Amino acid sequence: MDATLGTLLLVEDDPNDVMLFRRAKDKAKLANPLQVVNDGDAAIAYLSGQGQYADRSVYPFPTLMLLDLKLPRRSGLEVLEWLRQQPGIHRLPVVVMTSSKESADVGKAYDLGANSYLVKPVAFDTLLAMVRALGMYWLILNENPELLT
Amino acid sequence: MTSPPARIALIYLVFSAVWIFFSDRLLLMLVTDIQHLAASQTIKGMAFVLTSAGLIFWLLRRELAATQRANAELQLQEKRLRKITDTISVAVFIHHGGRLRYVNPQAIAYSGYSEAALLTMNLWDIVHPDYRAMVMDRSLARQYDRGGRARYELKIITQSGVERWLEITADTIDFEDISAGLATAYDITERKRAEAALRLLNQELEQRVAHRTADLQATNRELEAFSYSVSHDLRAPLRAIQGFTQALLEDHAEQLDASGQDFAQRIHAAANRLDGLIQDLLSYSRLNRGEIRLKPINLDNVVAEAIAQHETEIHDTAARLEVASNLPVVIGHHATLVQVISNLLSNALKFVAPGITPQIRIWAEVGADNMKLFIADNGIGIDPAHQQRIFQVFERLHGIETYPDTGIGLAIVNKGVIRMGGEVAVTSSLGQGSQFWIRLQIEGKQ
Repeated sequence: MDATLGTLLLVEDDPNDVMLFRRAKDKAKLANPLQVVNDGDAAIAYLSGQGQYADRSVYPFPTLMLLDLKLPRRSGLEVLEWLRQQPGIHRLPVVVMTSSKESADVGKAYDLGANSYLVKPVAFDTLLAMVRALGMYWLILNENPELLT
Repeated sequence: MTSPPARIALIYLVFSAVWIFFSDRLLLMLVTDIQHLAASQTIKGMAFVLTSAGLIFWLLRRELAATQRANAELQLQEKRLRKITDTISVAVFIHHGGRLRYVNPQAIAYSGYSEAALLTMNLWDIVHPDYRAMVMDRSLARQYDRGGRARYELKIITQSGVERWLEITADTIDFEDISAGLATAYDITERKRAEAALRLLNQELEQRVAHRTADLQATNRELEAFSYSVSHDLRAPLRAIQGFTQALLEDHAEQLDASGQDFAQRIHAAANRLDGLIQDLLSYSRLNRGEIRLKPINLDNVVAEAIAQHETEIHDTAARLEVASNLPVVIGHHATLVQVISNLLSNALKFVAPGITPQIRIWAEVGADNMKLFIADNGIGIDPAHQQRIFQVFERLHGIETYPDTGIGLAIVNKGVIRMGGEVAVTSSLGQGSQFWIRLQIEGKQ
């Protein structure tokens, strides 16, 4: 693991989508380590470093969170709302990555402080292009805020 | 005109004066003998008395006859008037400061009281308490101030206690030499009842509409939830099918024989098609329920954006596009308009006979308060028999092998244009290419 590269936290409950994302990330030659949690509660536990996620050397605080909206237990929007109220870490860049194109969802996500909103494409090549752009923009070009973790 | 006695006196005066003036001269001319003069004077005097008595008798009789005639005429008129007030279906009340002085039979019939009883009552005694103060004020006011005509509706209570709606016209009349109040009335109870029934019916109808609307809104919400879950849940397995088939083809191609690879490719293509279908369905349903705010839109930008969406196809087919510059500003909705033009472009690029290079022309014609944007192609054209139904959802005119299309593209165009207050149409014949136009309002003249 390259310690200098920021960790990506993927909050996604569909194992297929996780596998496809991994594949796209590998194909895009994105070297950042990837951590995956499968529901909203786990995402909050990870971000607050509780339970099994207490060891930050194994589960480093992420530089970017990729957040699905439709999740078991706590929804993606609830996770986002919670995050933005946490002192010290509330500035963590969050890219919503979901299936819904509904303008109500898009609006709600931005209202709650999402930094970007992406719709999961069906075609793998489109996903690949999206992950490439994502890595280029959020992990290379973007200047990230300092977080007190 | 002078009065009869004065007229008689005047005629008598004139007659006497003429008599005095001429009778002596006449006498002196006729009687020359002075001795007969005295006797002639006596005869002349008697003649005068006789003649004047006759004259007065004649004059008096004539005047009397005239008076009698006038009286008879008056009586006839009064009889006629009474006949009218007796038979008219409108109630007539005449009152002085509210105290009833005259009532016609219809007034008696409406009130249920006898004529004798009514003539001892005040007008407001028969009025419903709700209107009593108003009638009292108006009746008393009319006693001092002649006032004009007034019309109002009120309820009375008949002797038997039944409520009755009347429409009243109030005015002032000279009655028995004093200024009195005149109130005519007719029964509008039936009309009031019908109005009340109508009001009730309207309320019921409104309630029913509200219920139906609520039902429809609930159904709509269900549909929204449905399309949401379609957009989310249905596409997730599709991503897996598509993604893993591609992974299979990329990573394990050497383990698959030719037909195995063909199968995988077919699964891949089918998944793509299903995704397109779901996307289009969602676009169509979004167009149906989403709120569209119309504002001035620059068509140049919209057309450029729509063309940019098809860059790959345009490149692949080497299509030739001819787009007029300075397209007008229309009243529309940006995203919807881009989708409409993009779908029309997509068809123009797609439905071309094999081996033919697509040629597409886009231009606008501006009218008084609207404009038409034309998109013409050199494609396979549309049989006039089908031109009516191509704008409906799920109309397919081509086999899937030759021209892949979900069949919703033109339905989206149609719905989108209608939601922007416009119209879409096509002129085409088989093998001659198609010419679509959309009509939209232009700025400033809507």
